[in-house]
Amino acid sequence: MGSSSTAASPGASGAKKGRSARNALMAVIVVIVIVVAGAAYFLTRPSGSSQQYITVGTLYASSGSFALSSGYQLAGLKLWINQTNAQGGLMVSSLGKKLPLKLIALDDQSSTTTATTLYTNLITQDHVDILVADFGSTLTAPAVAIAQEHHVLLFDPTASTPGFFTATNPYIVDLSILVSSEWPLVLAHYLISQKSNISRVAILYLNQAFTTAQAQTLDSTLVSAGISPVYYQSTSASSAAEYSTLLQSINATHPQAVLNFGYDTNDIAFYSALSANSMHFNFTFTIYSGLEYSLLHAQTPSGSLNYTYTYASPPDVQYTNVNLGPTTAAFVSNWTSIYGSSPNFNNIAGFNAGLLIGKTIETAGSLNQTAMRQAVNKLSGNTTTLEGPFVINTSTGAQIGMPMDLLQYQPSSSGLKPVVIYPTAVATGTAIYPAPAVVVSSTPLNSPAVVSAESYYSISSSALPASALCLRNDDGIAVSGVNRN
Amino acid sequence: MSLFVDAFVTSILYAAFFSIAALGLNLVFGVMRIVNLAHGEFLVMGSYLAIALADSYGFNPVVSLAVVVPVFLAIGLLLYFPLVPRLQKSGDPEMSSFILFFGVSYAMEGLAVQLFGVSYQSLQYNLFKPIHVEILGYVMPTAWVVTAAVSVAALALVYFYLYRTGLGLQTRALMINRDEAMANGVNINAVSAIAFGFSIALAASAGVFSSFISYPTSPSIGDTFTLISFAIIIIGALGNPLATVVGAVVFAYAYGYTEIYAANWSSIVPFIILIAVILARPQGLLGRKAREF
Repeated sequence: MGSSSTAASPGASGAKKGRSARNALMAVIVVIVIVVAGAAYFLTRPSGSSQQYITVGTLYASSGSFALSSGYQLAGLKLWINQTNAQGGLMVSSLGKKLPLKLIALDDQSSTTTATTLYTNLITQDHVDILVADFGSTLTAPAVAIAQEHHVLLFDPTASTPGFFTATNPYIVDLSILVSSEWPLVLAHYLISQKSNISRVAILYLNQAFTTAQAQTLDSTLVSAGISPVYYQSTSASSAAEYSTLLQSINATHPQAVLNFGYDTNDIAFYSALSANSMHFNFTFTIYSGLEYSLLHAQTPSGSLNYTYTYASPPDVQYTNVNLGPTTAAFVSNWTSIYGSSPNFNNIAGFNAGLLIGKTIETAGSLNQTAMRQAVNKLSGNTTTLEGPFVINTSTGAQIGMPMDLLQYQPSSSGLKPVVIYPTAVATGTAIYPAPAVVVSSTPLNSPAVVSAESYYSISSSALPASALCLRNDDGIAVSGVNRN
Repeated sequence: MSLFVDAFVTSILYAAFFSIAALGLNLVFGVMRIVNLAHGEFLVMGSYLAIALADSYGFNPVVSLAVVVPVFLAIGLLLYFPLVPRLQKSGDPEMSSFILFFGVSYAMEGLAVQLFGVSYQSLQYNLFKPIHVEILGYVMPTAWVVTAAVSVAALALVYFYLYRTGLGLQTRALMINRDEAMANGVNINAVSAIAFGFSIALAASAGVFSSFISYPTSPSIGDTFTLISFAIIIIGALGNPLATVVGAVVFAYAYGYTEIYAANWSSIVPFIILIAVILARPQGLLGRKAREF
């Protein structure tokens, strides 16, 4: 057995040599293939200098509860992209050229589960250069952790939940909306200033992060000033019948001011329930009557918004002395000429986000995520856009500029006029308090029985009362709404 | 009026509306043993048709019923034949119907987005004159009272159909025992198709009034109506159409009184009751025997 293993025949030896030669040949071929494939990859891969465009990835909701607001925001962002591309794109100094923008917008259908998948796809499959969040806190929430995990900067147009912004996460920046816990500060200070008239305050809020943060801030600020709300309640209500019951509870506390913090559909149900119960409060505040005035005006019973209060924000507040992009009035004019209707706050927020993204890229000089975050910090405090002063907490990325003032809708011959009443430094009028009761006539009304937000625009865009920007005196100076420098 | 009485009155109206909203879902399950997860979407479509009729022709919602009911009855009949008999042939019609109508609901929501956009739309209270009426010292919109009245009338018609007509007798026979009904000469397809058509028409009729008393109409609100309707018929008794009223009353009062005394819990308590009913009486409050799972 030993001999047979050591004394190989000439034929066996030749066969062994042949196998060795084939193995060697195969190894050479494999090496050649690897080298060629590697060379092909490195020669054909998109390099920095061969980049043809800047990809902007975002999500939107074509359906579901956030579809309307999400669509508004996306429309604003698209307009900025179109205008930027019309000018040849954005200058990226590290590449030495201007690059056009390419938008990748994926539909999350208002589902946070779908949004989670799609945000990941934008980063890992589409390799977007710029990641922009969908509308609002709910649909932005999934992106916060994903962006941080992948070290991609999340540009956030309209999510304002304080919990998103921490010093440990440098990969998010709030571009177009004041962090929600700060929203009611002006409102709270106004109520405190009216303490002699308004001491019985009722606060009803939707049990969502955005609205809860506001209610908590308002409550704590009022309490610290010696005003303990007579009613402070969270709810999940969204139908008129549900709000009807809640309003009976509120009415039983005899409040001098009723503040309802909800989303658009909640505010519609709230005002419908007010009308259904023929209730009237001296001071009524809602969020979305200002942010989406046309929708609320069209979908609430006639006269519902008379003498009510809301946050004053663009386009009701106009910024004239801006150093980035158009003034508020110029933007509104341009938007109206393109789309045939006035923009709302979320349209402006989407466009404003685009403006700041563009300036960020140009300031950073590259598409490096860390460089862009540092560039955003450089813009903070010395940039004013159509939405106001851009100021962020440079540690957390939370927006602390773009204030939310207080306005009241006052009836006028041309419809409801938004009158900014507080702070006094920017006020365009004084509040009418207590609010006169609105007489809802049983006789046929001039307004159509059914009006969608879109049809309202088309019916009376020229008479849109929310557009304080349309109300000008003979000198062309805005006489209602705020002109801010 | 005290808050307690106020919630009592509001809950009656809410219960009446949700009775008609859920009734069709129960009718379909009782007769065909299938669950129509697109029920809420049919309700939404009915709402959009009523809004369009009011917008274009100034139709009062009650008048719109004369259009909405036959249109959706016809749609139901047309949809029955390509969809339901195939489900009945499957080994597990209940589970198959879940999957099929889940797809139908998504398709309908997408269709609604294409046709009507994503904006909220509502009928306004001023379609009824006077806008408000006072009943027992309680002022409420006429629209709410009309909604409740139409719901009660629809329930009465369904009762009449089930218990006072030959077709109703055959329908009940199918609900009790499908095989025996067939052995006794009941035309299963004809009776089922009519029941399916009625179900869709009832959902659409509820949709005519939904934006008055519940939610503004939008393509995405159908899921909510389906969920609430499903909870109501389980509380009442799955497969027993008239038990829907009991389910709706329990659901509405749970909602109404929780809203008054513990608003934080208002969206939870009705579903806690649902779980309790399933555990204590799986057949529902008015069910005769335990369901087969």
